[in-house]
Parts: sequence; C-alpha cells; structure tokens
Amino acid sequence: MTTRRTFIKNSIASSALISLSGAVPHFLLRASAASLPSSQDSILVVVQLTGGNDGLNTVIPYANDEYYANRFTLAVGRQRVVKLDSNVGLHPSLEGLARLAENNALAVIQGVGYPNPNRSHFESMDLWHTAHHRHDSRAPGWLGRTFGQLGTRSDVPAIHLGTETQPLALANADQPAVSIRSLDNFRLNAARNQETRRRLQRLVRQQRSDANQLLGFIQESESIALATSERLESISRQQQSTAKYPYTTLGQKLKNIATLIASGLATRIYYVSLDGFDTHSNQSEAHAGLLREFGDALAAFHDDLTVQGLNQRVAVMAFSEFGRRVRENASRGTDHGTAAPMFIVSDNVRETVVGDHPSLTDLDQGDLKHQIDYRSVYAELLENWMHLPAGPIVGDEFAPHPILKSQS
Amino acid sequence: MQALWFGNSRRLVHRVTLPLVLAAVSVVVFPLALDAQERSPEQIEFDQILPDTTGLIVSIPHPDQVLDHLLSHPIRDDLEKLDAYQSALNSPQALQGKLLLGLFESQVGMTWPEAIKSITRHGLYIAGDPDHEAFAVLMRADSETNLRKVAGTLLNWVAKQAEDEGREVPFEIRDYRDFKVADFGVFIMARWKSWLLISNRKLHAKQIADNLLDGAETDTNLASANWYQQARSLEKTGDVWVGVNLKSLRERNIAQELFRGTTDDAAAELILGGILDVLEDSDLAAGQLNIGDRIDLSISVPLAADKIRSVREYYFGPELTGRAPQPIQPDGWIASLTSYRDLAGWWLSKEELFEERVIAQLAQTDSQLSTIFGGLDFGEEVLGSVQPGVQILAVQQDFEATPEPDVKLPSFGLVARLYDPASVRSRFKIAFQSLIGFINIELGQQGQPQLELDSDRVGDAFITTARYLIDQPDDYRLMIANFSPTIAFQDDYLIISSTRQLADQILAEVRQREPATVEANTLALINGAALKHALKQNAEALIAQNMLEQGNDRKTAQQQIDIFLRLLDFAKSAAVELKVHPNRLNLSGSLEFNLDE
Amino acid sequence: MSSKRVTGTARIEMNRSNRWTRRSGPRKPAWQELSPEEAWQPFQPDGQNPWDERRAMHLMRRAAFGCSRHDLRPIVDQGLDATVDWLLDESSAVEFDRQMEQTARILATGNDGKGLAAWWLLKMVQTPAPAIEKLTLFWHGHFATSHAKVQRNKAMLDQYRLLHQHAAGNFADLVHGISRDIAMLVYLDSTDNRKTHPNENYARELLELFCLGIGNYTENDIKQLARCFTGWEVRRGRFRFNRFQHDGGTKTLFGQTGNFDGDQAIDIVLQQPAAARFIARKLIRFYVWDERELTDEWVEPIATTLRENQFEIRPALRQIFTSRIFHAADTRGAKIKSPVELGVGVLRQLRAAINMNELANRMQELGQLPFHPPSVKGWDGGRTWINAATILSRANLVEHIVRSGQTKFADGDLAAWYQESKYNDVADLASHWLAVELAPEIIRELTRTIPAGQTVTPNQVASAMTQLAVLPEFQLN
Repeated sequence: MTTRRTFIKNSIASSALISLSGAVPHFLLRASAASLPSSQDSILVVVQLTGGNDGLNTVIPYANDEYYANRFTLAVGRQRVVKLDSNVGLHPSLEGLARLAENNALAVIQGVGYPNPNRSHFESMDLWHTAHHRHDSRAPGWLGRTFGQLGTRSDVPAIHLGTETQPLALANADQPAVSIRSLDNFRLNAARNQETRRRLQRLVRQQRSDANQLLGFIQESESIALATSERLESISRQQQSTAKYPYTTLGQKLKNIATLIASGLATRIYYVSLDGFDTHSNQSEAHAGLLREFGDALAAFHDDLTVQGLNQRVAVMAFSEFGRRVRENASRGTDHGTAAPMFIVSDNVRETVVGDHPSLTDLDQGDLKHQIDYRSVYAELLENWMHLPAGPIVGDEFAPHPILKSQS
Repeated sequence: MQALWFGNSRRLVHRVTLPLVLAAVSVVVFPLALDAQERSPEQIEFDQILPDTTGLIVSIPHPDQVLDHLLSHPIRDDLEKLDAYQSALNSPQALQGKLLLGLFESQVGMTWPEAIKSITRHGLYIAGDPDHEAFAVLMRADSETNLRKVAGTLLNWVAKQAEDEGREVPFEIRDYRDFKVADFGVFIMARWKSWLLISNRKLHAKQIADNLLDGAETDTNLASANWYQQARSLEKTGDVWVGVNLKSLRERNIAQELFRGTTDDAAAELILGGILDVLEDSDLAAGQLNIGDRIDLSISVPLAADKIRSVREYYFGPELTGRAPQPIQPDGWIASLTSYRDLAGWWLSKEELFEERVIAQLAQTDSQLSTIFGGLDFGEEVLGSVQPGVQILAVQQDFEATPEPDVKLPSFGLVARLYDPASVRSRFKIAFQSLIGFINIELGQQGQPQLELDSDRVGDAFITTARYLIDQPDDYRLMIANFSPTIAFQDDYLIISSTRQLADQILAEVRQREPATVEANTLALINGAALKHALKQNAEALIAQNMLEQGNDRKTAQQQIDIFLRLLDFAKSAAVELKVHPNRLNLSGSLEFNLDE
Repeated sequence: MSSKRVTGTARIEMNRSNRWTRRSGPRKPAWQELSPEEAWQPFQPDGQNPWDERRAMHLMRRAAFGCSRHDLRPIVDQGLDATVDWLLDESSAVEFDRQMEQTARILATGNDGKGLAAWWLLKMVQTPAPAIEKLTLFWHGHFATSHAKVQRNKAMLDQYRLLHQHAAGNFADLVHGISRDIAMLVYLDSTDNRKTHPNENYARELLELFCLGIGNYTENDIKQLARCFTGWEVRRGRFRFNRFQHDGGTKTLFGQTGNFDGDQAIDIVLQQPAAARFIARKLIRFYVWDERELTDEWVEPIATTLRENQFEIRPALRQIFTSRIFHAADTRGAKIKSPVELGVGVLRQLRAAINMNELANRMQELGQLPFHPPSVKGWDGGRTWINAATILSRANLVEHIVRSGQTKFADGDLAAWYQESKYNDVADLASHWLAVELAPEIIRELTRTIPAGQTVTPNQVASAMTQLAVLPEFQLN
C-alpha cells in the first residue's frame, strides 16, 4: 500500500519539476500520461529451465510400472512421490510446488511439446522462443511480439534478470527489452545524489533542435533509461521485500521481481532462467537439487505476492526446451528427449493436473509423444491472461488450451 | 567533562617558510611550562592504562630496533642500486618530499629516522576498542624535549599551510589536566611529559589520560583483561605483537566471514575449513612479527578439541593427529603444498559443509567423475582408496627434448599414497586412459594433435604417459612442450603429473626415502630462485599481461616486469605452516632473503 | 557452444525505421543543396568554411578515434590534404606493430577471446596510425567472424593480420585472402567442400555480404560459384586445396563460362558493376552517415574511384575524407558512436590508460566486443547501439575512466591534462569533445562544474567529463 502511494508521490514530484523547467518535450508528456500502470494489468513471469528438464522424474507417473521398468536406478519410490491424483505425483523435492497445488495455485500441463521434435538444445530452445513463427523479423521472439502488442511505453516493456545473454523470446527491434544483471547494475553512476540526478535529467531533457533525428532518438532512449533506473534505485532503497526467500539464485531473482512488481513498475513481462538440467549422468542428486531450488523459489514468490495482495495480478509459466528419454542411460542419467510438463502458477488455474500423462509404451523412437502443443499453452496465456489475440503471436492454428478460469 | 576537556584555548601560530601536509607520524607538543608531577612516566606500562574494553592491541615495544633493522637491512642497499629506485627518487614528487624532509630535519635538528626513533623510543602501541568504536595510538619518547620539538614543528607546519590557503587552522589547543591537547575535531592528540596519545574519541582519550595521570583501577585495565592475559600466554613477545579479542568482534558482527565456520566453496574449504572451524568458537587470537635478516610471522588461536565439528576430522585427523607428509623436493622445485587431508571424508561430508547450491554442483561433478571412473563411486571408492596426506608441487622443466614454446609452463604434480595399491591401481590407470580418450576426441574434433598413450615399467614402477608426437606443426608447440600427462605407481605411491619428466623425478625421490611426516598439518613452501627462473622464462607473457591489465605501452611494461624480476632476486624462500598443538592452533610464515649478491 | 545461439539471434533484421522521423528544420541540409558530383568534389577551405579545429577534429573522430587537443594543433597546422595522407599511411606504425606482434604471439597460445579483444583495444588506444586500426575494424565488421564460434585465438589473429595488412590496400586482395582464411571458413561451416556436394554457404555469403549485396546475383550464381570453391578445405588447422575434390567442369558465372577455380571466380565477381557500389556504400555508411538514404547516384562517384583504381581502398577513402559533403556542417553528428569509438576515443582524447580487460568487459556490455561480432552480418550500428541499458553503461564507462583511481593519465592527472589541452573553459572543452554544438542553456549549466578564475582541480574536470558524457550529444560522432 505504501509502495503505491510513494510511487504516486514520486511521479507528482517529477512532473512538477518538469513543468518548472519550462520546455517539456512532447515524448515526455506522452510518457507521463501513460506512466500510472493500471493496477489491473496482468503480469507474466517466465521461468526457463535450461538444459532439458527430466519431466518423467518431475511429474512422476507413479502408478505406471513401465516407469519403474525404464528408470531402474533413477525411479522415485511410490511412497516418496507427492501424489497429485491417482496417476501422477511430484518429485519429493518439489514440496514447494506441492504446497501451491494444495492451494489451487498450480497447474501441471502434461506432455507438452511439438511435432517433429528437435533434440538439439539450441534449436529446440529457438523454437520455444520464437513459437516457430519467424515471419515477423522485427520481433522474432514470441514475448517480443507480445509486449509489442501491449504497447507499454512508460517503463521498459520486459525485464530479463540474469547474467546470461538476453533470451531470443524477448527480441523486439522496436522496443528492446532490458537485461539486468543485478538491480544495482542498472544505474547512472554519475547521479551520485538527488540534486545531481535532477541536474542531469534536466540536461538530458532540455529541448533540442529537431534537425538531428539521431539526437532525438538518443534523447528519448536516455530519458526512459534514466526514469527506469531512478525507479529501480528508489525501489532498492526503500522497499526490499521482507518475505523469506530461499538463498538461491532463482529465489533471489524472484525476490527482486516481486520487489519490482510491488513498486508499481508498468513492466508486464519478466524473464528468468535456471540452468543445469542437462543431466546425462548420475542425475539423481543434481536433479533433486535443481527441483528443490525451482519449487521453493516459486512457492516463496507466490507467498510473497499473496501477502502483498498482488497474487491476482501475477502468473508464472515454467518450461524447458525438451524432456528426456524414457529409458535411463548406462550412466545413471538421461539423454535428450521430447515432450515434458509445463507449469503455471496462478490463483486462477482451473485444475491442478491438465491433460493426461503421455503413454510410456506408445513411444516415438523411445521418446514420449506430445499431447499438447506448447503454442496452445502460449495462446491460453495470451488470450486469458494478457488479454491479447493469440493468432498474430503464435499463429491462428493454435487454439488456447483451457488452463485458466475465464475472466470477465 | 566537556568543559574540562576544552579548557583555555589558544591558537598556535608559528612562522615557517614552506607548506606541508600532515606527515605520517603527527604529533603535538608546545613550549609550555610543566605542571607539577606525581607519577613518573617511566613507571607506567601501556597495558595498565588502556581500558579493559580494548579489543585489539598492536604493541611495538622497541620501534627503534625495528626501524634500524629495516633501514640497515642488506636488501635496502640492493634496492637502492636499482635503476627504478633511483628514477623514483628523482621524480618531482620524491624531490619535493626530500626537500620537505630536509627542512624538517634542519628544524628539529635530527634526521628523520632519529626523530621517529626518538619519539617512539619506549614503545608504540595501537589499540582498538570496538565497544566505543574508538582507536588510540600511544607512544613514549626518550625525552620530552625531543617529543616537543618534533610535534611542535609538524603542528606549526599544518597551521601555516592552512593560513597560506586561507583556511582556518584545523586544530585548537587546549589543556586537559596536565595534558596539552591539540583538538582536530575528528581526532585529538594529547601529550603528557614524554607520553603522546592520539585518539578519535574524546571520552576514550580522557579515560586513558586519567589512567596515565592517576593509575588505573587494577581490574579495569587491559592488563587485567582475561582475553589479553590468555593472548599473552599464546604468543609471548615479538618485534610487533598483536592481540585480538575475537569474542568482542563476533558480538559486534565485525568480520563476520571469519566466524561463519564455513566458506561455501569446496576448494577453499580444503585450505581454510579447519581454521574457520577453530575461529568459530575462539575468543581471542595473538600474533607476533619478527623482523631480522628474515621476517617471521606467527599467529595463534586457542583450540578446544571438543568444540571442533566432527566433520572436520577429515582436516585435522583423528584426535587432531593429522600430519602432512614430508615434502618431496626434486631439482628445480618451485612450490610445494603438503597437507593432511582425508579427501574421501571431505567429499562425502559435503552436505554438512556446504550450502545447497554448492552441494548440487558437487553432485554434478561427482556424477561426471564417477563416469570417468567406470561407475566407481567417486567419493567412497575413488577418494576412499587414497590415504590422507597429499602433496601438490610445481617444478621447473627444461625444454631440451621438445621445440621451445612461447609460454613455458612448469610441471605440476600430485603425490598421494594408496591404501591398497594392488586392487585400485588398474582402476586409476583405466580412468586415466578414459580421460585421455575423452580429451583426444575433443582434440580430434578441433583438428588438433592428439595424445598417444604408452605404458611402461621402470623398476617396480608402473607408468602410463600420454604424449603428443613431436613432429607437429609449430602452432602446437605450447601443448607439445608443456604436457605429457602421466600417472605412475611405485609401492603404495600414486603420482599424477602434467609431464613425464616430473613423474620420473618424483619416482626417483620416493624410491630412496621412507615415507615420513612433518610436524605440521599443512606446509607450503616456495623456492625463490626457481620461481624467478620460471617467471623469467615467461617474461614475454608477463609483459603481455602487464600491458593488458595496466594499459601500458610495451616499454613501460618491460620496465615494470624488469623491476619485478629484479626484486625476486632477493626472495630466497617462503614458508607457511599450520600446526596443531594440544591447546593452540598456530599459523606461521617466514620469508628469507638472498643477502649476498 | 553458444555460437549457434549467436548466429540465431543475430538474424534479427534491424532496419533503419522511420518511426522517429521528425519534421526537418528550416535550413536546407548540405546534402540536398549539392549534387552527388559536387558533393564528392574536394573541399576547398575558405574564410566562411575554414580548415579549423572543428573540422580537423571531425576528420579525426571519423577517420580515427578522435585525438587530444594537444595532438590536434599540428593537424590544423599541416592542413587537410597532408593530414589525410598521414592518416592513410601505415608506415609510421611499423615498429609499434612489431612490438604488438610479440604480445600477440603469447595470446595466440591461448583461447581467451576476451584477452584478444583487450589486445586489439590496446592497439587502437596506443597506435601511431589510428586510422589504419579503425579501417581494420571496418573490415572486421565487413568480413565478420566471431571467436565465440571459432574458439581459436591463433586463427582469429591470423585473420586480423590479413585485414590489417590490406586495410588500406586492395579490396581484391582481401577477398582472395579471406576466402582461404581459416577462421572465416570455420565460422561459416565451410571447412569441407566436396565436388559431389558443393558447400554453398561461403559462396552465398561472398555474394550477399562481402561483394555484391542482395539483388545483384541469382541463386544459380551461388550454385556455380560454390562449384568453383570445391576442394577448398581446412585440415588440421590449415588451408588446403584438395585437387581430388575440385570440380573441374565448366561453370557459367555472371554470363562468363569457363573452367574457373575459386580465385578466377572471385575476379569475375569483382568485375560486376555492383561490387564497387557495394563497397563504396558500406564505406560511406561507416565513415559519413548512419541514416541518409544512399541511392546509387550518391554512391557512384566513390564507386567509380574504386573501379578506376582497381579496388585500391586508399584513393576512395581520400576522396571521402577530403570531400565537400564530408566537411559540411550537418555531416557532423550524423553518426552514433560505436562502443569502440566511444571507449578508445575517450582514452585517446584524455591520454589515459586503464585495464584493457576491463575495457573489453565494458565493450561486451555495450554490444561491440572486438573479435566477437553478433553474426556474419557484423554489427548493425547506428541506432542499434543505443538502448536503455547501453545508454547508462556508456555514461558509466566515462565515469569509470575519470573517477577510478586506477586510471593513469599521461599528463599526470585530469587537471594537468585540462591545462595541457589549453581549454579556456567548459564551453571550449565541450566544443572539442562534441560533434555538434550545445544549446547555450546547457553550456551555462555545464559551466558550473569548472568555475572560471580558479585553479582547476582534477575533481572539477572529472565532474565536467561525467556530465558531458551524460548528454545525448556525447553519443554522436
């Protein structure tokens, strides 16, 4: 509550300053008109599980003997599986997700994939990022196209938190998303105090001749950057979330995202990754560790948003570029496979388990056949969460797969 | 109290002819009549006047001797002969400094070393007080006159400098009881007879001053503090003696990293784990530094065997008896680290030692290593077959048999002993072959030369070496010359090295010696001459690194590397030892110099 | 490992959009007043348009990496023609290059691509022939090859040596050389090229990106050209012509028929009228304007010079650097500084040195790490340099250089540099540093950093520099 008020106070203060300084460039007027985000705006947080998550040992078909036959050393015992229904359950390290399921805040979408599966990390990841849909060369990323349609102009349209290269999913040539290594990093070091910052902002915003179009472009980019960095700085000063997050990389990233959302940033898409899922050998312990980091971080994030009254505005989608082969390999690990579960964390899910587990006997060269096309899941989030027509973004042939309660 | 402290104030204005910045040893004294005295300054020990809340104390009882040692150190002559030293002396800054020093010396009538020695003749003490966030510097001069002269000169210069720049004189002169005080605001300096006191907190300074004049109550001074007495018994004396009350630091969350008991870094744990374990519950630490022809440092903390976490047995050994093996020092050895570590115990205790993230990473590594070892469990079966006590060493190599590479690396080796060599020897050898196989595939994919495996027996030793073929194109000289990875077994010894040459050297050494241990848990040694030789061979690489890291042009980089290598001439050897005594953990280091050139 | 990702992402087209177009001001820009023929005529300084510090600095900014005020004076004195001759002459750097080669040999033994970038950046900062280094950077962007995929310092350095050797020389030499360059062939997956299976990858890039541009060749030309290159292989890190894999049959390329090998084919490609235009256009884009539409008519005078000189680069560059249009007022500031121009430029102008590995990190953050272009198309440049993150990082880079205690200044410190540069005041400083003029209000605001009539302190100069670096004008070149 305070956060919202502080934010409004801040924007009033800065608009007063602008009017005092006399010359108000038109793009700033545009920006300030759009600067108050509607508290109804939905937000999507995407969590990428990099490396190919072993879906079979994540959402476990514990009632199926085939599972135990194929996973002779890696199988999780029936008793240890956290059951979701009479067929499938979660890996015991996913306590966090299990808690979300109890609160009807989790959807597990089974057997998600696409036709003619590609088993290369890069190429499959590219497909998930572009949604196979490359005709829009200015916005090859599906999220890039999404925020292109949302038209958020007052703050950056999407934020990627992390040190890795910006994911292709966010590519949009007209409205670049911002990659932030850490909140402290995205700042103007010359603005050492409030007075200097104001001076510098005045210098940047000062009306300039229209003759040099490049200059106008730089001026606009810089004004937005300064405003965003100021916002981020005031956030990191005042409103560090007090919620308890696990001290893991993903936990801390989600904590930062919760902070940004609570601050009233108009950004509607956030992106984070968790790497390490390429478990070709002795996967058991490593995979369990990754799942724990994943589940605990998501649960903490949801708790935090709930306490702050923001849970109705935020949905989380988690995916991996592919699952792994049904049969484990000779090194107590698993190799690149195909279909795997996706996860959506939202208070608006219809039911926990979506779709049926793919058959463990009817396989395509030893791999699971997909049941649901990932673009139908994207379409569902676009139409029922972001309230955008999905056709232009993922293609008309993919109807939304019902996952969320339809909203008025 | 304030009124007392800020007594009658007078401003001090003396004329000097040159400006000056406040020098390193800033002191105050002015020509004022002496007050009547009851205590004689000679009777007072520093630890009787410092309060018992002192948490850090550095004591230099005879600074004059230390300074003499440093100034007359044989190294100094050598340093002065260096071109770099001479050109530094002739830089504008140095010339200006020299001028000021000359002026200072003529005004006080002593050379600057004499002046420093004189005002600290009977001790220099630095004390930190975490309770009051205060520090104090205490010193006692050989004569009140000299102290006055030195301090007065410096203060006058500060005052004059301020006047010249149109600023206010940055201090005020007051009296406090028998003390003369210069108050700089952020700190004060106060003199009584031949004692001088500098502190950042007025109340703190007042307490010390009162103790000096009146004598302290016996149970509130540092000498009576329990931790201090213990520290004094841990490390007796030294040219420089340091005591730290760790408990008070810990309670105030100062240097928290030291007291966490863990590093959350698998490699750092191997080096520091045991030390951190002891620090976690230690209330104090003491150290001494001795400066003579060589430099010796020793730091001790009390050790309570029952407080050491059982998981650290891998580090200290059962009942703290773990001792490092006697280092093998083949010709041309550069550096060696020997240590008692039960590697299996370390690897298998990862859950207790590290946070989840590290555990997950180690689990991944574990799975990869187990693959190379053909499914053997890496912790239990691979590391478990190695006895505690390992040596890592770096040794010069000659490049006689190979084309000369642009970068000349030393050989690296690891020496350990196996519990049951007959049963695991083959497993290690196969793992080595698999690893070379993986590397060959990788090299082949990159179109680079591959390694050829060869096994032979020399006496009782089983040796497997992977070599590049020598007649490769020039591009690959670096790899060809620097690497011929080898694994060798002799009796229960396991030797892994980056070159065959080193493996042969180590084998020759182990054949003619009985395994023995040293009196330390961990022993690190550096051989100055060999280190210098290795670096000199790679001067071109050092120049490149200097250019990139400093942005220097080649000429400057060359000069700097030259100086660096010349300085290394003086380093004869360095050693660091970690010793475990029944009640004390001791870390000592020494640095020896080449004194005749 | 990530090379695929790099190439994948890089296929994003970054056209120069007109979204930001504004109504142009009242004064007619020079490029509309002049005909293309007039525009590329030599610039004749006169009383109204003198050869002064402003024009000299413009030339230095564009042709090189700017220069300190100290170094600018002799340039003004010697005049435009002598300066261009000096800029395009690599002989002054022979000894310097030899010394840097010694360092390169060390780097060639490793695989640290960032170290390699640091080495080149150091070279750009220190070289006595900065225009040659900049031209090499141009060719690196043209024949873009990334260490991210090649992964071998030695191959990358060999390519650098090729580009550097012919930077101001002959374009045909460059094309012949690059066609058998190890790093290039590895980068384009063209290390294998069999008679039965001609690899079209290199042939396609040669026509599309290196020599002619889209629309100036057919798919059949690609197929025929690929046949000419069969048997060109990389084996064990070396180029090899495998005569058993060479297609010795007759090929028809751009209307000529014969049993061409790769080198003959390259010569045929370069005979196409589009070739000279393609290179001329790219040079003009790099050296003159980011966004002005470059019709054939505007490009042709430079293309003609290239053709008349058998693709010698030097005459074409001389024509550009001495032209009326290059020295017209509104050409100044018509480009956005690339990250390398920014970083190297600041160091050269301040006569400062910093840790080059750190500079390389910053270049990566800003999107132009040398030896690591994002794709075979090189860096798009222009507006794509600027986004919310890079605009802050650009200002922070300057702040780091002037505030970090690690920076070394040839003049001692910033105050000494300021005095040595003989700046009268902040307005003078700004006019040397910026490509365009500042509004009086902004100058007034900046002047507060260095009040007149006092001894200048390093801190004041640092403040002035950091504030200057925050101005949008600072990004223009």
